[in-house]
Amino acid sequence: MELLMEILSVFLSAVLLENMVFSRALGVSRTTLVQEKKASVMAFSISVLFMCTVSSVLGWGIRWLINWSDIELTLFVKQAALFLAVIASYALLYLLIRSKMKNLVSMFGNVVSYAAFNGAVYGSLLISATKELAFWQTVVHGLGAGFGMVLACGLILMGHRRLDLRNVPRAFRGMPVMLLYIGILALAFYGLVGHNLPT
Amino acid sequence: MKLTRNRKLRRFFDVTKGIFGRNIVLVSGLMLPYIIMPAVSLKASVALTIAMLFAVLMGIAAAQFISKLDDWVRYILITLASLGGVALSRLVIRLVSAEIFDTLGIYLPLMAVNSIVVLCAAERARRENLLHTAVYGLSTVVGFSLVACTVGALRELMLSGSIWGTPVATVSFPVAATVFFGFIMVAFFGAAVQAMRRVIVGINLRLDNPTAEDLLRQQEERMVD
Repeated sequence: MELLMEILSVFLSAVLLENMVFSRALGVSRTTLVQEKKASVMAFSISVLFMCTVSSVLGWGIRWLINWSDIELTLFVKQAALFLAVIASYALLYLLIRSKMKNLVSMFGNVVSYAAFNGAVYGSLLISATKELAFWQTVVHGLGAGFGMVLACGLILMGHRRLDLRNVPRAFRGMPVMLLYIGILALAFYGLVGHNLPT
Repeated sequence: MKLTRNRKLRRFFDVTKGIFGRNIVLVSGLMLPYIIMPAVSLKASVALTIAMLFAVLMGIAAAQFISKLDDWVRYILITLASLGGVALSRLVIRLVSAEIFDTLGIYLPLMAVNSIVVLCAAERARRENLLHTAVYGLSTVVGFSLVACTVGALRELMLSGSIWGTPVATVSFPVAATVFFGFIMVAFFGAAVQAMRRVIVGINLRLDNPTAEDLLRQQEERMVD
């Protein structure tokens, strides 16, 4: 029961309190801000979810290898080594789609690449390394970060639909009003945490 | 309708693409996380600009050599090269301030996966030659640094009443360091840029195409002279 509660707390913390978009501004780019097609947003968020989860397992493996080998490395080198986990999971996802679902490559090939090299994926790995989380915590954190990104993408898509129907001042139309919308949501998430998260 | 001035303006925006024409942060919406979260002081903004310069240059250089490979392999190699660029940039950033690494935290290694390197350098390098891609890359760095330094300086001023560590006012507004403030601030900057562009285009149209009233006034002025 205690373990279940701990898993739940790590997961909820990654989804809500430390949401990649609203608490750290990671993963905010043109792909997330301007994309209005439901299918593309779904492909993007599912790719990020897959990448976050798989790379968290591989990232923990790399961290374990570094600790096991007992080599003195600087913090930056350790962080850079984690990037290998992102690359490996991207290659895995891309080859998986190419071999099993060929038609998806032409439809969502670029979206998958943007999702893979999105700051949220590498960011979640770096955060779990900074916190020195254990294996299961790292995996749950990765899964939570992915779900947090799905939640953020969903909220941004809903915001698009609502804001398209409003009479927004000309200067704010497009990206500025979306940033304001995300800013207000970020304020709500900030209210849950109560302080700024460390960089 | 005459569009001479607006055509000139468009040519200017084409030449300065990435800086004024389509500023990569305020108009294109790229590189936003680095402005919103870690750019809370001028020093941090300068450090981010240096990191971006190295990451983009290394990314572009790598993209030129591997332009014939498969897309997914190219993305991987380009981001690895830009990670190398970020590692090199640490040597220069150390000269700005040794403590800046604590402020930047995870955002420094994250520079390797920035949208400019992944999207623009990788895509452009296949269509254009090294010089054109390098010029575009440098213009995006200048565009980024303009926004980053303005936002960083303003936030530092609001946070501690200082610029580059030198006190200039007695202000303390801790909210300026928060994420939501960053989002809202960039949104207002973006809106200001859009409004300014519309105003300039309107003025140019008015100057090129005077109304009947304007023509009458000009005629009267000439008669008085």
